[in-house]
Order: sequence, then structure tokens, then C-alpha cells
Amino acid sequence: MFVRLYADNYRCFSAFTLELSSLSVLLGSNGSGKSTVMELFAKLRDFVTGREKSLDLFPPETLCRWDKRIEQTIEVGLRLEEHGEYIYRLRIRHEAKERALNKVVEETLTLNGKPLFEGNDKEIRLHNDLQSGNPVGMQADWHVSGISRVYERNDNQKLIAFRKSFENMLVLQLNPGLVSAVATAKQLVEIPRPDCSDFAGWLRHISAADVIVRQQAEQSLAQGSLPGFRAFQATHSGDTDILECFFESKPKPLKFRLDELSSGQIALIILEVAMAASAERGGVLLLDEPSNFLGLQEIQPLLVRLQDAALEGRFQVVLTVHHPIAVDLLAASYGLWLEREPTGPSRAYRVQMAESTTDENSAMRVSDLVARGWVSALGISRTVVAQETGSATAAQ
Amino acid sequence: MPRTCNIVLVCEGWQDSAFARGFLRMAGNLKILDRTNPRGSGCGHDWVRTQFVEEVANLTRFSEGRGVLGLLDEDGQRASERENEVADVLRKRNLGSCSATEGRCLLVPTRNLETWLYWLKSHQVGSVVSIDETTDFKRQPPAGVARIDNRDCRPAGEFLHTLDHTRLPEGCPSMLRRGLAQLRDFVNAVRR
Repeated sequence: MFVRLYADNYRCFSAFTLELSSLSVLLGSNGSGKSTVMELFAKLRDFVTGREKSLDLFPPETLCRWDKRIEQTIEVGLRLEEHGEYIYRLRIRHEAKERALNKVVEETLTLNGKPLFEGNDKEIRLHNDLQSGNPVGMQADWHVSGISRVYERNDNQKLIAFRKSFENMLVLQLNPGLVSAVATAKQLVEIPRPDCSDFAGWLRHISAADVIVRQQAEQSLAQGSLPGFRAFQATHSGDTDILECFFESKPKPLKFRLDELSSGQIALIILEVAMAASAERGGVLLLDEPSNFLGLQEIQPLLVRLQDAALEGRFQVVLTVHHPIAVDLLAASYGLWLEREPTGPSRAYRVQMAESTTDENSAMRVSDLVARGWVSALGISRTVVAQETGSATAAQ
Repeated sequence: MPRTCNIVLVCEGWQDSAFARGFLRMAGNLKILDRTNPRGSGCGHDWVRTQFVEEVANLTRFSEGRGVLGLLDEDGQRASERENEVADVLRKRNLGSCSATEGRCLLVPTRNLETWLYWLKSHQVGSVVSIDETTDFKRQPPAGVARIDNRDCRPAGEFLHTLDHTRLPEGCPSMLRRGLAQLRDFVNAVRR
């Protein structure tokens, strides 16, 4: 389970810390940094797993606009039951704000306080699982994660477990309008893009590599989350596959291309597959506004299932939400409020509902409080927020 | 498949809700709206009492709803007192009585849901432990038994569905025996 994210000099994050649990629900106004959390996790995943380079993931535009420093620091805390507490630290130095050149000057991974991996811009030292003896040296690459370049061996399973936690991370910011039913033969999609425009390719990969995920998703959809749904089918057409969905109909089922379905139906399908994949891998699922595009009747069942999955330990869930149903259901127990002055740094606060403000006879819904901006009832002091934000900005 | 919500579930917390949904899931094809008390939102008992009555009122006003299921821990206050508190409010508001056969079901675990969870889990894994209905197992699990966690709630509800309420083993908590009979009546009522 990812337990902590720290980011300094990254977009709206300046010495920003976010503590996470099995279910974390990010709340806050537009522009408060919720989606930036999602984006940063996706970037870290793509870096640590070797899918992308620091040059592409961390261009100079990702530096804080008000900060003159040219170095970014990101830390992630991960707790794995079988191994313990990992801390991953990444430091990137930009050549200058105007030039799209950067290099990794520090990449380290510790487990329970002892080093597993130590890298800088000159060399890399790789420790074995016992974290003893002489570390193995490797040449540093300024733009590629050293951890992504480590081959799996019997004596480095702890480091591989860390990397797999990122491989099992899904970050989705759905945009059904961009989702295509077409997957080209050469397109290998092990991890979908956040907007899931490549969903057809991802489902094809799942069908080949993890067929149980596809079957479980089909079962859930057919059992009620998507009325009438029966199954997926990929039809070959030249060097492409067209993803189609069968729906119950008399005398025989009707089939529709995925992109012929409504935005809400596409969103439901993607969410089911994402939940099935996360459950199968025991990973983490980060969803930016999962209630977007869904009908009112679909929202609570989805959220309850995500809550169940997280609390039963099947997979970790991080959500950003605005919808009142989501806010009322989840904010009081799992809420993290993000607050930000329009051009200042973000800060995160755990929601702590005061008993006195939630007396049954006088209680307002949490969504009402949020809509009015009366966040003191969520245990958030605006004075503290203003002071902290002001001092942080002034310090730059 | 109809999308209409059949049942409204009113619980003190997520564990109660997960347990009840486990049972209802096994009963099959029921659409549930969950009105569980969000933590921090006042007292759990007050929440269930208030929301249960409101949902019974909704049931009488609108024809689509089929049933309301509530879970309210006895917590040493006597089950009959808990039930009477709700029954009184229903009577005062001319909302009739609380009867599972009419789709209005209030379960009152004694002493609390943990009593049921420990008994069900022990029978599920085949290592029977002695459970009474006065000890607060929320604070301390029965001797020699691992503490119940979130992963046990839904399976306990599912397991309960497999039991025959007329042939429950010796030592079954009395309110669980009664609760299972109520749940059978409730499911039959909402299916009519």
C-alpha cells in the first residue's frame, strides 16, 4: 500500500505531503492539486517501470512557477506486508527553466531504513535482499530510472516487489469520448493511458495475459452494473481488432462497437475492467472523478464496491471526487482536503468531522458544507491554511 | 433488468453494511441503496433510528421501493427497548408497525454485530467457540480467537444465507436465530 507522497517544486506542490490509507478520497476546489496527485503517481509509475524518461515526464514546465530553484524532489512511501516500509526518493535537476534538459541526480530506495538501491548522476549501487555485503555497481543513465533497468534475480526480490507495486498501479482520468474500439496488431498496451483511449488494446492484452480479469469484468457487467451486457468480442479486420460488446436481445444478441456506446456505458465498462485487474493483482487504483459520466443510480453502487475492495484489502483505492453522493458517502471517513491559494502551493489536510457540527438534528450534509466553502466543520482551519500558504509562498 | 432500488439499507457503519450486503447478495439480484452512517456523523444509534423511520416513510410514499433493512446494535440496552424506540416513532408518525413480512426489518444483534460475526466465522471454519450475548466482543475477542477484521464481514453475511433458520446449531445466539428468520421473511416480502 502506498502510504505517503511528498513532492517539492513540482507544479503546485511545494514541500507537499499527502498521507494515504487503503481508501483515500481527495477533495477540494478546482485547481487545488487533486488531479496533479494522480498525474504525479502516473509519472512515477512510468519512470520506475522504464516506460518513459525523465526528459518526457518532467519537462521544465513541471517546475513551480513561483520557485527559482531548478531541482525537483519526489518521495513515495510504500508499505508491503511481506517486506516492510519502502521509501523511494527521486531528485531531478533541470539545466535551466528555459531548456528542456534535466538529469536524475538522486534515485534511492530504502527498505526499513536500509538501502536497497542508491543512484546518482555518476553511479548506481544495487544491494541484495539481505542488504549486506558489497553492492553491485552499474553505470548511471541521466534520464532513465536505474530501478527499471534491474533484472529480476533470486537475491533482489525486495526491489522487484517495489517495482511491481508500480506495475500494478492503474491511474485513470476517463474521457470516454476519446476511447476507440480499434486496436492495431502492433499496439501492446500493458498499462492503459489515463484517458483510456487505448482501452481496446488494453483489453486485448488482458484477454491474452490475464483472461480471468476479463471474465470477472464481464460477469460483473452482466450481473447488473451494465444492464443487458453479455460479453466482449474482438473482431479481426486486417491488422486491427475491433472491440465489440454483445447485449441481450431477442431473438439473438445485438452487438455494438465499443465506441457506439454512450459515454456512461463506456465508463462503466472501463471501471469494471480496472476493478477486476486491480483485484487480481492486489494493486492500487487511482481514479480521477469516477462518477463523471455515470447516471445517478450507478454512482453509489460503484463507490460502495470501491470502498469494499479497499477496506477488505483487495486493492488500494485513491479517488478524487466532487459529486455530492461521493462526498456524502466517503468524505467524513476517508477525506483528504486539498487547499490552495490561486497561485500558491497546495496543502493537504485530513478531514475530521467535529461531532458538534454533525448532531443528527442539525446536521448538514458534508456536500452542503463543501458547496458553501464552510470547511471548518471538516476540521480544517482556514486561518492555518492561509498562514501556511502565505508563509510558503513568501519563502520562495 | 430493472434498475429500480429494491432495498434501502440503514446501518451504523461499514461493517454492518458489508455483512448485510453479503447476505442480500446471496439472496440474489436485489438493488440496494446504502444509507450507512458516515463515520463522524453523529451517534450511530441515532443515525439508524432516524434514517430507518425516514426510509419507512419513503416506502409508504413511493410505490417503487420494496423494503428497508436496518441494523442496530443492542449494546446492553435490551433488544426489546431498541425495537420499541423505533416502533414508538413509527406509531407516532402513523407509519404502521415494523414487520419483516411487510419489508420493514430491523435487526438487533445482541450484544452487537461482533457477537454474530464471531459465531458465524467460527462455524464457517469449523472451530466452534462459545459465544454469549452479553460480552462486548468489540472490545475483546473470545478467548483464543483472532480478532475479526473487515475481511470477515461480507463472508459472514454470505455464510448466514447458507444456514437454515429452523435448524441452527446449539449455541447460536438467540437474536441471530431470530434475525435469520426475519431476513428470510424480509427477502420474501421484497420479492413479492
